Amino acid sequence: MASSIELINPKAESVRRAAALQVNITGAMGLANVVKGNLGPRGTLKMLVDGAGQIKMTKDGKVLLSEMQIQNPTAAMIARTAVAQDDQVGDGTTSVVLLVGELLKQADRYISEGVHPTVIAEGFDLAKKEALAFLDTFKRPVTLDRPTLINVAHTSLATKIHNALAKKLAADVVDAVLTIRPPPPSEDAKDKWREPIDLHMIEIMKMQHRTASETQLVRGLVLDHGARHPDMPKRVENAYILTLNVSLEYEKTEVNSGFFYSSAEQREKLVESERRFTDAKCKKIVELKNLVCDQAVGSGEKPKNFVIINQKGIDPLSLDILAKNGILALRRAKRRNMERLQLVCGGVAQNSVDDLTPDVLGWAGLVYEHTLGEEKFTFIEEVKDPKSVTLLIKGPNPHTIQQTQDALRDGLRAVKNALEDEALVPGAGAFEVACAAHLSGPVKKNAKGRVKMGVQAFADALLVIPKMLAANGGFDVQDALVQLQEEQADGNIVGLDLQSGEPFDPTVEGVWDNYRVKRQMLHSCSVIAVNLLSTDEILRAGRSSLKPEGQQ
Amino acid sequence: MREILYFQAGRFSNYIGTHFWNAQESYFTYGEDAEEPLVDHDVSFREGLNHQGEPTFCPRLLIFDRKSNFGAVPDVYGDTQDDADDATAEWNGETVQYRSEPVRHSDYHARLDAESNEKRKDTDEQPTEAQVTESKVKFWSDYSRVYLHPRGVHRLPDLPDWEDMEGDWVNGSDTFQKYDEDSDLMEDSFRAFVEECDHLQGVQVMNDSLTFGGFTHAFLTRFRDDFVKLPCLSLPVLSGCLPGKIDADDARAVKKALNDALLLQSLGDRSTLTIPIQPPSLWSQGRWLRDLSLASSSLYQTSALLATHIEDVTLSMRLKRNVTDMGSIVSSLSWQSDKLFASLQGAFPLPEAWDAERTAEMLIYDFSAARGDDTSRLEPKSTYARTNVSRGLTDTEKTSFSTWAGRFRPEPFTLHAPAITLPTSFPHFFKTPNQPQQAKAASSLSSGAQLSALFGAYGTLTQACLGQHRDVLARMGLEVDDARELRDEMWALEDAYKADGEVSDGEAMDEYEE
Repeated sequence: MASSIELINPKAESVRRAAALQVNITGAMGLANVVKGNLGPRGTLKMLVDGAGQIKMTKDGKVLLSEMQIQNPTAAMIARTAVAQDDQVGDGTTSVVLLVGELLKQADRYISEGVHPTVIAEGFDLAKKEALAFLDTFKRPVTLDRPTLINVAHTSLATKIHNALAKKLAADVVDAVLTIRPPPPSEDAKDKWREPIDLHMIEIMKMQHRTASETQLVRGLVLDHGARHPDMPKRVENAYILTLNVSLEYEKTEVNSGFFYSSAEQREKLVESERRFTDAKCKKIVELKNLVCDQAVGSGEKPKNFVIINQKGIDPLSLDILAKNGILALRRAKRRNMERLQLVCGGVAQNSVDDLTPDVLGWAGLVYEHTLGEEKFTFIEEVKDPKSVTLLIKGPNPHTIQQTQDALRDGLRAVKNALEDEALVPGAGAFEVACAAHLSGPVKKNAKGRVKMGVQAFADALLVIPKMLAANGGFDVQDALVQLQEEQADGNIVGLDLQSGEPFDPTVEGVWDNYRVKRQMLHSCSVIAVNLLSTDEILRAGRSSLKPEGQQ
Repeated sequence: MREILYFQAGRFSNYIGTHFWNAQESYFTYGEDAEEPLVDHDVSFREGLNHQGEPTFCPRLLIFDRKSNFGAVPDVYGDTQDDADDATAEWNGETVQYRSEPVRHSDYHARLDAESNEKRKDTDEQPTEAQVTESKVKFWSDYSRVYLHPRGVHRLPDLPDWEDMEGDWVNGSDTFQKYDEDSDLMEDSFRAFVEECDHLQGVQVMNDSLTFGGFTHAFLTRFRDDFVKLPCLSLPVLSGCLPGKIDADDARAVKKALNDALLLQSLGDRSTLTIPIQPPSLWSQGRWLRDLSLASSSLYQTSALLATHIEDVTLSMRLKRNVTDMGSIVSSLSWQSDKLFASLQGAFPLPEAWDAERTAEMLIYDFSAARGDDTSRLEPKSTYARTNVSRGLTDTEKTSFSTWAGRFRPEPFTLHAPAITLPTSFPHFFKTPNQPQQAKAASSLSSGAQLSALFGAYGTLTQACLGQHRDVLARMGLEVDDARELRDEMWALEDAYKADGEVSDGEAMDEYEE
C-alpha cells in the first residue's frame, strides 16, 4: 500500500514501520562506527584533508561531526544532539553518539524477536531515570585542591593531545581557571551565591611559531597587534596603562565632500579646522601622561612610562603626537580586551577623554612587542594580582594550533565544570560498569513486566563505553569486561587501566570525569534513542530541481 | 590612507568578485620606469609577509562561501600542505587519515605559473598567453589572478543536500552568529584588517541574497555596533523571484522574494548606499547586448559584465589622483530620502566613435531593473541623482556624452577615465573576431523613481503573506509584527521614491505587473 503522503505528493518518498526503524538503526550505528575509534586517551586521531589541501587533526567528536558531510538524516539528527551536548557542557560528544548507536543496536535484538519498540522505549525511560538517580549517589564530593583539578584537566587533555604535552598543559589550564575564578561570597553576604566562572576572561592567543610544547600560560595579557608608529618604544617598563574607547581618528563632517571644493586651499582649511578636535583629544591624554610620569631630574626613581590601549582607531597624525611624547599606543583592541585589561592591570576603561585622572590608570611592570613575520604581538606582563590571563598557543602550522586549542578548550571546560559541580565522577568506565550492574540488578528486578527488557537493553548499551576503551587500548574486550564486572561485583569502584588493560581504581589514579557531562550524556542519548524508536514513518519530500536560471 | 574593506559572500558574488579583483590586479604597473598607476593600490590591497618572509599583496577582503564552492584557492602563505608527514607529531597514538579527492588547480593557473617561470628565466621566446577555457571553469577560484590572505578566507561547512537554505532568512542569521562564535570572525579576521587601516573610508559589501541574505544582515548588524557612521556600500544580488511575477501560491518562490525584501529593509537601515542587482535570469535580451554573444546562463560571463560596471562606478574611491571617497559617492547621490538606494546602469562594450546622444538609451542597460528594455529609467524627470563614469572615451565622445548626461538635473558628476585593460581572465564573449586588449564602457549609479515600483511590489507581497499566506511566514520563522514592519517599510520606501505627480499606488502596481 502506498503511503498516504505519496498520494498527495508523488515526489515524496516514504518508508514505514519496520523499514523506518531499520533506517534509523542503521544510521545510528553507522555514525557510532565512525566515531568509536576516537574514544578515550588511546583512541585514534583523525586527520581530515579536504579537496583544497586543508588539514584538520582531531579526536574531538564535535569537530569530527561538524566537519563530516553527513548525508543520512538520522545520523545528522544524532550529530546535532551530540554537538549540542558539547555546546552545553563542553565534552561527551563521542560518548553520546556511541551510546545512541548501542542503545538502538540492543533494542534491535529485542525488536527482531517481536517486542514492540514502544515497550523498549518505555524501558529506556525508566532506565534513564534510575541511572540519573544512581549517578547522584555515585559522584564523589571531593576537595577540589590544585592536584585534584590537575588530574581532572589531565584526564580531559590526554584524550586530545599527546601525553607529555597534556601533563604540562594540565597545570596551566588549572592555574588559568583558578586565577579568573570570582572570589567566594563574603561571610556576611545575604545569598551565598558565587559568581559563575567566565572562561572568556582567559584570552586564547595563537602564534604560528616553533612547536606545540612551547604553549604556555602568560600571567597577563597578550594582544595580537602592536604599535603602528616607527618611533614608538618597543619595550617599556613600569608603565601606566590607559584603557580607552575613544576614536582618535580625524572624522569629517557631513559637508566635507570631495565634490564641493572650489580649491585645494579651501579643502585644506576645512580639514585643518576639523583636525583640531582630534588633536585636542590627544592633548588631553598627553597632559595626563605628563602629570603622572614627570619626575624631578635626578630623583633616582625608576622612570615611568605610559601605554594606551584603544578599542577605537588612532590615525597617523594622532600616533605622531603620541609618539613624540614617548607614549606607546595600540589601536583597535579587541572589545573583550577592554574588560580583560581592567582585570589584568587595574584601572577603569574610559569612553571619553574629558575626565581623565590618574586613578583611572592601570599598571604593568613590563610591556613589550614581539614581531613574527607580518604579525605583531604585544605582551603586558609583570602585573599585580591579575584576574585575567592568557593561554599562548604555539605550533608550527595552523592545524597543530587548532588541535591544541580544541584540547585546551575542553580542558578549561572540565576544570570549570568540576569547580561548579563541586563533585566528580570516577572515570575510565567506572561509572558505566557500576551503573549497568545497578540497572540489571535491583532496577530490573523492581521493573514490571516487559519493561524489564528495555532496562536490560539500556544496561547492556552502557557497557559500550568500557568496551570501546578496551578495544581502542588494544586489549581483549571480553576479558577486560569480565574482569571489570567481577571486581565491581565485589563492591569496588573499578575502571580500566589503559596502560595494563587490568582493572584499577580510578579515584586513586586520579582519573575523573565531570558530573554534569555524565548527566547530560545519559539524558541526551536516551531522549534521542527513544525518539528514533518511536518513529514509524520517514518522509522525504521531493526536492525541486528547479534552480534559478543563470546558475550552472 | 583611504582603505576599503571588502565583504563578499555567496557563489555568484564571488564570481563577480573574482573578476573585480582581476581588474584591480590589472592596474598594477611593474618596473622602475613604469608609469604611475591609475589606482592607489593601498586602498584595496594590504602589504604583508608570508611565513617564508616573502612580501605579499593581498586584497583586504573577507570572502565567504560554502566549502565546496571554493575550489583550489591559490595559497601564498603556504598554510596548506600537501604532505602531512609531520602533522602527526602531536599525538602518540594511532592516526587515521581521511582524504577527499584533491581539487586540481585550474589549467589557467598552471599556465600563469608557467608564464611567470618563463619570465623569470628571461627566455626570448614569446610565451603563449594564458587563457581561460570557459567550459573548464567550475569554481570562481579557477580564473582568479590574486592571492587571498588566509585571514580573509572563510569556508562555511557544506549543507546536506536535503537541507534547503535558500531564502532562509532566520537560518542565515543564525549561521553568522554561530560562525562568529566558533571562529571569532569579528574579533579576529575583521578586526585585524581594520587595525591595519590608517583611515578606513568604508566597507563594500557584495552578497547573494538567496544564500547569504540573513548572513549579511547579521554581519552588518555586528559591524554597526562598532562603526556607527562609517560609510557602507552594498551590492546585493537578488534572488530572481520577483514579487508580482511569481506564482503567489508557490511557497518557495514567495519565501525567496520575502527574503529579498528583508535584505533590502536591513540594508536600508545599515548600509549607506544600497545598489540592488537583478540576477542574469531576469535580464532582458535586447539591443544593449548587440556587441556581445553573452550566454545568460554562464556565471563566468555574466559576472564579468557586472564586475566591469561595479568596478567602474566605484573607481573614484580608489583613484590615485582626484581623491574622493565612498562618502563622496554617497553624498553625490543623496537626495531627501535617508535610506539611499540606487540602480546600477551601464553600457559595455561601447562601439567605435560612440554617439551617446543618439544611442545612449539603447545601449545603457539597468541591472537593478526587473524589466529589461525600459528606457524610461533613463528619463531625467524620474531621476533624482546620478553619477557617471566613462572609460576610454575620445574627446568627441566625451562631449556627446556630457550633452546627453546634461539633460539630468541636478547635472550628474561624470568621471572620465582611461579605457579598461582586459585581463586574460576576461571572457571571450565579444563579437569581434579577436579578443580586444582594451574596452570602453560607460557606467552609472542612478537613484530615482524606477525603484519605487519594486518596493511597492515587495510591500504588497508582504501584505499577502500577512493575509492568506501566513504559512510562509510561519515556515520562515518570522513574527507577524516583523512582517508588518517590513510591509510598512516597503510601502514607505515606495512613497519616498515615487516621482512627483506619478500615478497612485494601485496603478503603479498594475504597470509593474503587466
